[in-house]
Amino acid sequence: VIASAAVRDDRVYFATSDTGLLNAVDGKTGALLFSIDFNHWPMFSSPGIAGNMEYLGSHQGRLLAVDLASQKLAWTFAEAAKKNGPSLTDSKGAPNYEAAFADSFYDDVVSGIQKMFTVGAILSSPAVSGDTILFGSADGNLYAIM
Amino acid sequence: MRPLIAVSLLPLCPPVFAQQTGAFRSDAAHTGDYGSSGIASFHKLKWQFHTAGQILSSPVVADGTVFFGSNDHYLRALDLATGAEKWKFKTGGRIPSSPAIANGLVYFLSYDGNFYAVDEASGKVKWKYATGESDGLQRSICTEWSRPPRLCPIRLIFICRRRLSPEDWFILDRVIRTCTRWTPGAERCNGNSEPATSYIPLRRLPMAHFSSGVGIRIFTRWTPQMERRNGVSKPVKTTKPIIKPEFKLHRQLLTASFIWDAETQIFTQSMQGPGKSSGPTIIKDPG
Repeated sequence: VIASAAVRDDRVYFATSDTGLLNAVDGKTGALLFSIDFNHWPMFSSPGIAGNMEYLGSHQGRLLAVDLASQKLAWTFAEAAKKNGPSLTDSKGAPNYEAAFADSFYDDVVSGIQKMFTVGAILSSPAVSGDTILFGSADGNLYAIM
Repeated sequence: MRPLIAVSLLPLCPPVFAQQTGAFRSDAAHTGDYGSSGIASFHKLKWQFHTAGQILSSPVVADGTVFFGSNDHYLRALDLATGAEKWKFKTGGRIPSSPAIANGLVYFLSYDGNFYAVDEASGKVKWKYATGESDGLQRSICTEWSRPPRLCPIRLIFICRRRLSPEDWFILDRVIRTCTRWTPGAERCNGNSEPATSYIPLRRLPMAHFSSGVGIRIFTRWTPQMERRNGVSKPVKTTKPIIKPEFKLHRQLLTASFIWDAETQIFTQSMQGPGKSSGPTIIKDPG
């Protein structure tokens, strides 16, 4: 877990950087309340909460909007850079690291990470102001959506 | 005496938080909980603004303006409604740090090694503080340090070019310390953590907290009344700013003074380079 957790009303929301899960746990007991599976796409972006919605970005170049009432994915916003995704996605829809990383030497790790970022990875944590959601992307864009 | 000193200083302090404040993840506690109702369904792309670098920094909104850093070395201020650029401020390195806004100033860190305070309205630098090493150290490990074998063992090249693990970094650190050109105290800054929210008792003024590889640093714009080192707080006998030789810039500007820093283990992060990704936290003393 690289991303900071979001906290509201004794509930803690956090995303995982390896398994691609958004988890909600009870802040007092740690009991899992719900978990949404985003197919192993890493999430370094810390969730932002506004109203009944929770927003976070994934390495897949998508902003994810989760309805906290239904505990389900409500909608997604896909960047133009996601067109780079297919070559870095495996047959199950998960990230294909073998396509990005040739071996585990340091130089290759760096270039591999940069290659994965070409999908438009969102490491930035979304900010919400009124009816606008703002977030940065590894594709070089700052997005404002509503 | 301490309460009297604090009271006597109050009239000297400019209005605090007259403008809006903003920070990474909404507030000083970094809860991630924004006050608005949010949007339940996607309507449209309002605008997008392209920069020449990756944007890993999280945007912060204050006074109808969006502030964010980019890896193209600029911190920018955009109009929230239109996305039009109000100003941009160039630093010497990339800016994955998320800004914090208070007192009409934008606080952030850059990979050039500086902690900046930039005017929120004009984008002009108010003051800056050198936290330690910049990206240059990473480059120097690969090139400069390894060039004279007598000063720097050749194995530095091997370590740098090969896979790095935390153990390697530790070894690397030990090796570098044996180099005669190594300057103790100029350790790289590698603070990627988000600073915790806290405030020092008896302080009644906002402070900026951020972390670097050499520990947590805390700033105030006003004269500190107490100093904390190695976990021990002690009152400062004078109300004059604590000025050290390396903080000449602050003495000139008289807008920031150093309070304390806490030593941490260096090279606690591997493979991150001399990063300064931490988002500063601005603390408003509840008193």
